Amino acid sequence: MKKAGNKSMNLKNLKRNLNINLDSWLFTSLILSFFLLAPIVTLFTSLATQNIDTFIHIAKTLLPEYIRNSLIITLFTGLFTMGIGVSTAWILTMYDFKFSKFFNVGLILPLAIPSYIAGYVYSGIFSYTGIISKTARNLFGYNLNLDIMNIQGVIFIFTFFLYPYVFIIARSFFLKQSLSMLESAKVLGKSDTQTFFLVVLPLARTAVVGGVTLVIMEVLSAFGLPSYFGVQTFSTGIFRTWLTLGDTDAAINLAIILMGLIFTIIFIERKSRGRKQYSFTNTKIRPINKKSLSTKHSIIAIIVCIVPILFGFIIPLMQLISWSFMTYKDVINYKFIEVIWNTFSIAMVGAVLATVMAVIISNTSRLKKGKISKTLSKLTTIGYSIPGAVIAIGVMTFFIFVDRKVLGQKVFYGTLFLMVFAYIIRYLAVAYNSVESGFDKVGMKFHEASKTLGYGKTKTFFKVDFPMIKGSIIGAVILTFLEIIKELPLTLILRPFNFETLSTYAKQYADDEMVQHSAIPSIVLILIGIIIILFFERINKKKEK
Amino acid sequence: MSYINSKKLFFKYKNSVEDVLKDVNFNANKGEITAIIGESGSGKSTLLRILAGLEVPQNGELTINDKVLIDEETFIPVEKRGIGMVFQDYALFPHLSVEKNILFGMNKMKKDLAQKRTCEVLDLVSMKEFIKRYPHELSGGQQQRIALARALAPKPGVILLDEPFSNLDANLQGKIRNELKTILKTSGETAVFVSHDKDDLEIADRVVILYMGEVIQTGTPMEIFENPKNEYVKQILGI
Repeated sequence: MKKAGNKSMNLKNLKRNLNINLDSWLFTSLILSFFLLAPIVTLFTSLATQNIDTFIHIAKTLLPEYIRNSLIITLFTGLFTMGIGVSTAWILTMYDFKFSKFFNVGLILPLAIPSYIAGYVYSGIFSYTGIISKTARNLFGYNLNLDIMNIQGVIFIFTFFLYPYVFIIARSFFLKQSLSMLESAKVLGKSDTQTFFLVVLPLARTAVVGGVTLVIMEVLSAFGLPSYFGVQTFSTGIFRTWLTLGDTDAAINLAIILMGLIFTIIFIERKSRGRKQYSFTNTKIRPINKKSLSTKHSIIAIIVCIVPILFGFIIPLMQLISWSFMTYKDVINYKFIEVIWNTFSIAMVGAVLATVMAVIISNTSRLKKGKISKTLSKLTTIGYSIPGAVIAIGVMTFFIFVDRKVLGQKVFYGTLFLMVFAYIIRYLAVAYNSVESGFDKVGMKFHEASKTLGYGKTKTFFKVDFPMIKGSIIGAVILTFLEIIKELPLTLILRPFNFETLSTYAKQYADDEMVQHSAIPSIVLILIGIIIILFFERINKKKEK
Repeated sequence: MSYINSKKLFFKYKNSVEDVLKDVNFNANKGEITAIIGESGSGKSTLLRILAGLEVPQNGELTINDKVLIDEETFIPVEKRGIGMVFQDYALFPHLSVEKNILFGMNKMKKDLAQKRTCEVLDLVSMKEFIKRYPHELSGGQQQRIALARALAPKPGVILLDEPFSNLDANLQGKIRNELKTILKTSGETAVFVSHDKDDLEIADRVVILYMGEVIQTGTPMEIFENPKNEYVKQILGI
């Protein structure tokens, strides 16, 4: 009797809890998460264990080279970007010198140039007919044999075009540091240099490692640059196995190994933070008064800051502009307009859809206090750490399965839908972070106030939350748009036949030994990037003020 | 029978070892102002949030005006309770004018009636001339009055106030306290507010003292001042 009573009470409780917890936001969020995670899960379940002759052959012959090259590039790019990013951020935080305001913006600009475009430009500059060899020949009669298309060249380009990731994070960290901390070190008899190495750098460790991790992810995901320079890495290996050898299973196996490598890096980075505290929660922060530098030291500071801008932005942009004047008559035509339209429309559709999904998942995650929604939101944004080529293979494998086994006919394969779907998986995190920061800023009080006034979750979202986080939502669309237009490997694998975007168009010209012709599509991409970067830098400045 | 009646409310946050509320019985009479007093961490804000429907207790029952809001098979969500709430930092919607903030809760009312009611409540809080202003154009005290007007506008029956005086300057608190009492009494609503300040008791008809998630004494302010049950109550009252 007592048992039956308990059972009925549990059932009533369960019914009550379901009523409280289940709503359209959670339901939609669960469905979205299922579809966004399905391709990644499919990839894991597709790990081939039989008929793996090609994979065994690759593992014996090519895999060691993929691993060695990927590790060398990752290690040196990580070290060099750390050096440039941290030193420039420190100089600009601590010292006042001529042009420092310009350097604060200028040092971010290399982010507007995708590494594969930088690869086309520098290969042109260093080629036999490039400006350096030509000048040496014509002015000095000297035959220079410069070759940048090797692993050192890849490291050089990654370094000068990815260091802004470290610079931005380190600068933001240094700006928030406490003056009291630096003064304490000084009182204890430490010089500027000793303070930097003994106090500042250990404290900035988490931020710097975070920036370097972003660089490493970009390096491991990159396909265009290593492929163009003929350096075999994991990403190029996946392409080669998929497209040249035509072995899907082996490509999937390689993709899984790469994903494992990336997750290990993320895991080590998280674990390495340990229990140490690297923030200043216990110290009241006083802003730093910048020191003025002597003329000699100013010149050194200017050189340290100008070199990365010169190699990472000014030289490639000048070269691209010069090539544009040479080739615009051949490049600007109806086809080019179509390519611009393709790029803008597909990127806008992808960015808007990714943002809508980010809003749904992020809002569910903040409203539900349970672990399920939090875990789902983390899982659905995992795509950003997975290389585009791997996501493309996962999406393709999943939709081939849907077409063959569920629908019984070719519906999705080879359509633009696949591309947009893959963009969303890859860049949902970009939109999500922007939307989430908007929600964090407004907090829960307005939402709760609206509910006490009789509005449900959906009405509250449209009447209260949306108007208040509109800026973050627009930001999410813009940032995701920028990421999508630059994306190359994913687009290359999933684009329908004859469908070109600016990035594939530029690559096509470069592959066809017409590197000068790739300048105009590249410049369009870079200009969009510059506008967006300057726009956000301005907004951040306003926020800091 | 009390207007607000709760029995054995039990609440614990997920991932927390501490129980926030331990079988709390709480009553409030119609038209009265009830104060829930306790130091921080005593569970007073959580109790208020449970009354509002913003938190879900693991156990217990709650009825308001004989309507069951919480029991073992029922949980009426916040938006369907018809309870007005004034938040600690007022939570006035910054993108809406004073007028639109007040109209916000009257979306089911006819437009002309809602407009009329807006004028009534603004009159009640003496803020009629501020109708077109935005929240950021008001002082702290003015914002609080608008938040009160917004909560009163839909005629909720019960009004909850979370630390209503904590965001005000010390010299303004006394004035606003008296004004609030007059407004609440004029409106005839049943009001419950939480506070950690003994001075706020002067506007209450009834007082509930919470200590570590348990009700340790209830009564009129006079009864409690005259017969404090233990040292904690004495300390809270500054005796």
